[in-house]
Amino acid sequence: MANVLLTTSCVRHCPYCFAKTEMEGSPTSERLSWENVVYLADFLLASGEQRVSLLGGEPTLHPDFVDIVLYFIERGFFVTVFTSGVMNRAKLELCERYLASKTNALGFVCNLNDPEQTPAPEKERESVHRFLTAMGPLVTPGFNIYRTDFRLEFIFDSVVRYGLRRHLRLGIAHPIPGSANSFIQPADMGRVIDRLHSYAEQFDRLRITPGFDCGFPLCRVNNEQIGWLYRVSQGHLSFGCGMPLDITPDMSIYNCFPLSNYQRRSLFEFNTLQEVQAFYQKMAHSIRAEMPGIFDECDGCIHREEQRCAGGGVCQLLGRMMSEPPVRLQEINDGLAALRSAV
Amino acid sequence: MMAWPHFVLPFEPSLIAELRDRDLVVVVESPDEIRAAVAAVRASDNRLDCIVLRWQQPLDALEFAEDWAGVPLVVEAVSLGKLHRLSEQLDLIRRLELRVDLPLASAAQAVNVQMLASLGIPCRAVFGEKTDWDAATDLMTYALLGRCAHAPIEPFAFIAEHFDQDRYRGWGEVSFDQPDRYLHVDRQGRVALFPSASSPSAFLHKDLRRLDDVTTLPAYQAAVERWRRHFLHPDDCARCPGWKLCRGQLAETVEDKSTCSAFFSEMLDVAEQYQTQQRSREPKRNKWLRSSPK
Repeated sequence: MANVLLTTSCVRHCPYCFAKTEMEGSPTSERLSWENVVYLADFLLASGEQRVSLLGGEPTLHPDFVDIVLYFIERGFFVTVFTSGVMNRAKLELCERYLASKTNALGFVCNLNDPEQTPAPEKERESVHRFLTAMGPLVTPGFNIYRTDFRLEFIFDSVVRYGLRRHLRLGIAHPIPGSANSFIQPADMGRVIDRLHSYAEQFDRLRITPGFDCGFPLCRVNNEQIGWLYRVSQGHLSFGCGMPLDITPDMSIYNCFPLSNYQRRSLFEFNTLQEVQAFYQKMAHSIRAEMPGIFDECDGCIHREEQRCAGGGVCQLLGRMMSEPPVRLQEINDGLAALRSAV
Repeated sequence: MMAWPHFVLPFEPSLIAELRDRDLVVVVESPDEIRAAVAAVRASDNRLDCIVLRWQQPLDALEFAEDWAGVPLVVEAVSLGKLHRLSEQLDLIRRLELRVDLPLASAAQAVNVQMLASLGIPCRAVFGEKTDWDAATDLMTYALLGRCAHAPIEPFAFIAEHFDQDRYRGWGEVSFDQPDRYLHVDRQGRVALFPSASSPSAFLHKDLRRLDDVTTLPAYQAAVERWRRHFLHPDDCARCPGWKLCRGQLAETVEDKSTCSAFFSEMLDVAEQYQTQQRSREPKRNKWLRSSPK
């Protein structure tokens, strides 16, 4: 799956933001051009890919946001838009008029922040309220965990109140190697799982399925918890590192936000998405050959060897490597040096 | 059966009624005239080649009608406009026998053509005095070597399809600007060789009833073979490596010939690649069956 950044501008300042080195390093006016929109649609279709995610920054800030979504839909894509839900009334009216009926081809993932733990200005909260009211049936809630005492009550409330899709996309805030964002330390992963499991009754009662984004380690989930997760997710459990490919407005490509400065390439160097994936898989293999996982015990772990668990995300491994030199492969050393200089 | 040349004329019911057994391109200035123009041709003893709508607005401001289905239609618009305003009509537009002509004066306009074609709508990029040649080159490459299927983009598709090193084939017919294919009739019934005819001397005839004589006139013959003059008095076009494709079609449109020359020289390579690709896509015949007895 390819993530396409429509713009690098954002309207929020989340403490956990793992895209901030990308956003801060880009000109605020950087937007995906129509020429590149058409190129990307062709590139993805020629690669056999019919799903695309549109991200930012805040993708709705792109002046042609609605047109770009419609274009991808008309080309036969299923489009997922990752948004904060913060947009002006004019943009929301356009979304309502032209996108609300596209239920078979479009979904939104709205990243919701806890109004108390991550407070936002009143105007921003009103805007999110308007968005969820208008587009609720198309919206899957998303939540980024960046502290172990997180709370999900407000999410459950939103699902019921706005008629959101009954799936909660849970992400763990990842470290930006060498940078200072708020994220979950590997040692705290177990506490995160425990906290999540404490909401099992609400998930079950409201029939909401939790879905893990990448980076959750299997070994920190006990048997009771995994039984619950298996049942509630109908077996769709993943403890991998998804290796999403992010494509920026200037057609750079990298392997997920936290690694935006590690082995960044131009999309024009590749002919297909498969070539890009092969390139970054090779990169990930070389990193994992150097450091198998986020815990020392990942080395030799049967779950990792049998690929039931990735042993944490590549970004988490690089974050660890930044503080634990030296490493063996020159290629990795070069990449770490680039990360340090970017930070 | 089609009989060349076809006649391009403004929508004027009396003109259409006066003609017999002709193929007509009827030019209308308003979408409201399309239905009446089609009816007028069908009620006459003529055949409809197509309707050309000169729409002096963005395409998104045009309200397409269901009953245009089955009518070959060219819409000359000034720009594309916004896709969301067009989106509610896209299903209908794709059912129509439609080609959209858009100017090629900027990179953004070239991308508009590309976008429409990628959505399955045949297009024509219109060259003019202000053509952005870099954008034209990108568009031409996309039109001929694009990796995904898309609707034809004229004039590139026509040129590449009919490109033959040994045989002349002009491409003015995609814009109705080729005297052996299209002649032009004005509201007074005067017949001209080119769409841009304005001075009285540019008209072959002032009598619509004498159309059968037109192709025998010296002026007609001279116009059909107008390409020769580039070589009788050698000019930039005669020395241009892109001549094989351009055939002097833009000689009067483009002032700085270095721009169109570079474009058509590049297109020569692309057209050859395109034809090689097309040949490689033809199903391979069984070598041993080729010589089998009948």
